[in-house]
Amino acid sequence: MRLLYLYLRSRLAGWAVLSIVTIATLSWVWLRAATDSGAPASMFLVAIPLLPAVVIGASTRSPFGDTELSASRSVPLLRFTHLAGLLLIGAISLAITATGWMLESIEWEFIRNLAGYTGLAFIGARILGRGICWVVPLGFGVITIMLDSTSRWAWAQKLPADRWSVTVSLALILVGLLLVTLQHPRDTNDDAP
Amino acid sequence: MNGTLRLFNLEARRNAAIWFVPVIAAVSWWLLDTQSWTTFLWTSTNRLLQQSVVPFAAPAIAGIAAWMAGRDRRRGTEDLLDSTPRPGTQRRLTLWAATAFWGLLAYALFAVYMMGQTALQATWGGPDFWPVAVVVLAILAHAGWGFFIGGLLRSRLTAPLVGIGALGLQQFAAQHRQVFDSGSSASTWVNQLAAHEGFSDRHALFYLGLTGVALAAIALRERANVLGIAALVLMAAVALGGGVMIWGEYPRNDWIVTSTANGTLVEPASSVPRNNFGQVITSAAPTLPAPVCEGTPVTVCVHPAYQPVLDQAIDDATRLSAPLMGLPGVPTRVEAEDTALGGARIDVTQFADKLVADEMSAEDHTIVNEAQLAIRSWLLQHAGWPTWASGCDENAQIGMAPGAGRWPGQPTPETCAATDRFAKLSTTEQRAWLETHYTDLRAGKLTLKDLP
Repeated sequence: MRLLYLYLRSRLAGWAVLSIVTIATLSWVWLRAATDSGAPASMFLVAIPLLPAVVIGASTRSPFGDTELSASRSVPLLRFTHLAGLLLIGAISLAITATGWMLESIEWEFIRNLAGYTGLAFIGARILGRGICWVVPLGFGVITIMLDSTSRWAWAQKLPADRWSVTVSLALILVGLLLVTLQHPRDTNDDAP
Repeated sequence: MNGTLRLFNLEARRNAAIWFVPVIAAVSWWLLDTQSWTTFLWTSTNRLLQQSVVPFAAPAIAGIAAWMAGRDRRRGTEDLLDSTPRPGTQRRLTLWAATAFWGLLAYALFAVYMMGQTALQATWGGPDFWPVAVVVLAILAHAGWGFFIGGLLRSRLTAPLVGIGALGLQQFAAQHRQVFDSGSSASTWVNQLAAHEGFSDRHALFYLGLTGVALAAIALRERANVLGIAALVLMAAVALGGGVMIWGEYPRNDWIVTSTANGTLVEPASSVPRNNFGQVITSAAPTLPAPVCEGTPVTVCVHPAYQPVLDQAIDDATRLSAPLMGLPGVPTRVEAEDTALGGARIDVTQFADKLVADEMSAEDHTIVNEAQLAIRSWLLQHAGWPTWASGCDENAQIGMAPGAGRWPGQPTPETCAATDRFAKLSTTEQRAWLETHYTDLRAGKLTLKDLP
């Protein structure tokens, strides 16, 4: 338990949780304030889950780099616990944010999109580096907003969630989690410009 | 000066935004693909030069600028750099400029490609540089604000949150609506604040001001002085001026909502449109250029901008009129007002109306005679148009009682059945019937019973 505590401290997990809760609170305010603005639900569906997703994506950063490879305990298990925990907190926060919104019931859609975007951020962390991993979900989010909602690529716009959109988001989060927990994250980009 | 250029060169080469050049190009390309770019039309290119790049490039540059702003702290070189002879303001602004440079380069490459394609194919019109100016200034403004916030809040979470925040703000502005009690909505002046919506000198002024405010704020963080404060105030005034002009020149949304038997009707409160400054909006009718007319035996006239696809239109019109060729009174000229551009193809289906009905027999330019509608549908199907173009698509007919819920000119199931019967005749029988009845058909003297 102490190992987990130290691991979470080294990853600044407290700040990440605080950020997620703050984001959820601000989103709660935004959702209710924006009800009068007439903005479509699809915009909130795409934009709001992006925020906790990039926070979780940025949390894959390791302050120790290659030194961690010499650890005697299973680091992948710790990584999984840390990231899955943040994902769970993000999902609960978003569900609370969406509860009671007068226009649509979008709790599950928020959670679906959070999972999908976080998966994309994890994949970005593996490919591009943890510092700029957010660009992958950001890019996909922009494309989703501009796409016609009938497109298969626009799974994040599907309201209510259908089997295809849930399958895609689950696949993304599973692949992403596998990539960042089983393989040692790249260190180069944290040190790059 | 040489020293500044050398520093810029160094900062540009050691900049994470380099990696964003292909990413911005790829996402912009994808967005372009989803928005139906008509390569030979300058109007399409001018619009998409803005709408396919800004939605991703601007938030991405804001995020990466925030990331670059925290670089010296991440690398622990802040104190070391403070000991160099260059002033901190100059170093910071050079780093901002180098970051923005890569975003601008990505846009320039994309713009050169799009404009080049259009310049090679277009036959009318030209580039509009205001959208380009708005995009350039929007990228600079996003880079400036991202850099300022990244310097202010130095956390690993700042860059992603700035990027997503910029996206959220842009989309919120673009999709803001005035909602009425009835549930219907209308666009508002706030939409024009989004970088991919406005494309005039006022929008350029607004984003110029935002860029200036951000740069002045960056400079003031390094060293507070009177010059910096004056620049901040001046640029804030420029941004505010641009914003006020955007608001003021937007049509005033005074609507009257009335409930009718068919639902809610939303109408402008006054027949004289005014802007938010209270001035009457005068819109002079655009002077249309002389159409280009080509083709024999059927001549098709189109707007000169559509000339690159004129040959296709001539082929379509010729195929459409082929069964009627040689009959007395057959129209052989498609006027420009009877054509419309659908995607990258000129739609000449309205010519089918002219082929089966003269002006006197149509009501308000719409065919209502069922015999004419039946032959019109046959002509369209004969020329290879899909059944939905003639209104005889199965989906259009299902559940439609005759005369109920139809749009003017939509054939009834009986009309479509007559079309099918006519199509099953031999070519000789069709020609014989047309030779006998064509003049009466165009005059609107026939009914469905007169069709074979």
